[in-house]
Parts: sequence; C-alpha cells; structure tokens
Amino acid sequence: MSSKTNNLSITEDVIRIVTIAPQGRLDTVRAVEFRKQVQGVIDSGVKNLVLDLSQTPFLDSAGMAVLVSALKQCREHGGDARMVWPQAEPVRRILSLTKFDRVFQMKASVEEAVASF
Amino acid sequence: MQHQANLGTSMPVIPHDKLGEDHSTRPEESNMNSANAIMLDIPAGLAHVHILSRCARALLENITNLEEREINLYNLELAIQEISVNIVKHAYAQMDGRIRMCLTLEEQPLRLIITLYDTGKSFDPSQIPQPQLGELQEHGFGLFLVQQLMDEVEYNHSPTGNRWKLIKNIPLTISSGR
Repeated sequence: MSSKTNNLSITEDVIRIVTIAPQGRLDTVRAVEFRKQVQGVIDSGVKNLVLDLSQTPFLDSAGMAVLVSALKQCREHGGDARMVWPQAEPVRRILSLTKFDRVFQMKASVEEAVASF
Repeated sequence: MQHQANLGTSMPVIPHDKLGEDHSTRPEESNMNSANAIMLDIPAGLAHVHILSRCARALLENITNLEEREINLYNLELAIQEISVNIVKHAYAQMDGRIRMCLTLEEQPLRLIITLYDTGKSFDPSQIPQPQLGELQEHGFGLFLVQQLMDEVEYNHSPTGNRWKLIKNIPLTISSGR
C-alpha cells in the first residue's frame, strides 16, 4: 500500500513468508511426498520459506536434498529460506557435519526466522 | 570387473588383482559364520530398508554404557539407511532384489561389523565426487555421511555380488569405579 499526502510518503510492504514444519522423520520414504508439498508451496508463488525442523527427529541425505532444492528455488525467485534448528541433537550434528548450517541461515525459533526477513 | 575401495580411514585396500582370490570378502564366508552373528534378508525396497537400520540400532541399544548414546545410535541408523537406500536406488535401480545384512558385535575392542550384500549393479566409488561442503549442493551427501559416521567403510564387487562392510568402534562411558 502506498499513499502520498503533503510532504509525506507512506509505503507498506508486506512480505509473504510461509513456514513448513515437517513432523516426524524426513527420510527417503517421506522425502518424495515432502518434495511435492514444498514444490506446491513454491509453485503457488511463495518465495520466502521458513523450514522448521524443530520436530524432525531423523534426517537423511534424501531429506537434505529437498531442503537444498527449496532454498535454491527461493533464491532463484528472489526470495530466501531460513532453517529452524532441530531439537534433536543428532540431527543438529548432521547439519553441522555437512555444513548445512552455513548454507542456510539457521534460527532458534520460527519467530526469530520470520523476523529475520 | 571388480572394484574395491577403502572409503574409510584405516582399512587397507586390497589390490584389484587379488580380489578374485580373496574369498573371505564374500559375506557368506566372512562374519556371517560367526556364532553370534545376526542376519537379515529383506526385499530391496525403500519401504523395508528401515528394518535393517533399526535392527542394528536395537543391537546397540542393549549396551547400557554406550557413550553419547543417542548420537551413536542415530549415526549407526543413518549410515545403514544411506547404504541400503543406495543399494535400492542404484544397485537394483528399482528392480526386484534382496539385501542381506549381517551384524556381528565383536569384543576387545568392542566394535560392530555390518556387512550389506546385494546382487545388483556394481559401481566405482572413486567416481563419486565428494560434496562441496558449504555450497548449494543437493546430492552427494549419502556416502559422505557414511564415511564420516563409521570408522571403516569398504566396498567391493565380485562375481557373486556387491558387499559393503562398515565397522563402528563402540565407545563406552568410563565406569565410576564403584
């Protein structure tokens, strides 16, 4: 929204941010459906994503591939993605081991992630 | 054609020309003969691979003083999951087949030996590039994770099939001495 009054310009920008929070394991079996769901969100015009892994107890390379694909597409559309750290320490270590925590902007919570856009 | 690769850090590489003579590398003649070996034989499908990884996890869960318990259980499960999925997707390429797994828990030093065997297509591990860590890369992390999470990783191919051998040293917490 934008309007002009005497010597005053008021502009309001609304950024659309969608949070995707997989519940449960994000492995090869689940990754196929998860990819479709993420693609559906991106295809609907969303270009800013919060990938909330806080409730993800297991992540394998197939799940990781979907996450990177989502980030790539967001950036290709001029947006970006944030990732919320998993609560599960083993998954956190995998993200660090693969340096996904450098590829993604990692946040402690969804609120923090949304606020960072 | 035979391939042998030491994908870990400490297992010696058997020269290609010696592989045909090394019958002990065949799973049915190696640790599968151990009296305490656990063996599973499953259809090579994505819906079944978790059976292998969770079985191995269950075996380690019996060790009460396992160091960094959740981390080690998770890493073992993930490594077996990655190899099993690799077999389903690439060795069998969605064709019907079987995956056999043998688990042997050895003592002194305490370590778990996991052998995974299939009769699908072979591959050359040296052709698998290492992932560019820190880059926007979608694929190539599976084998990298296995290498990082296991102490020794070995792959070889012979006329009887493909064999993955993973070894995980089992770290234990130090006893309080009571």
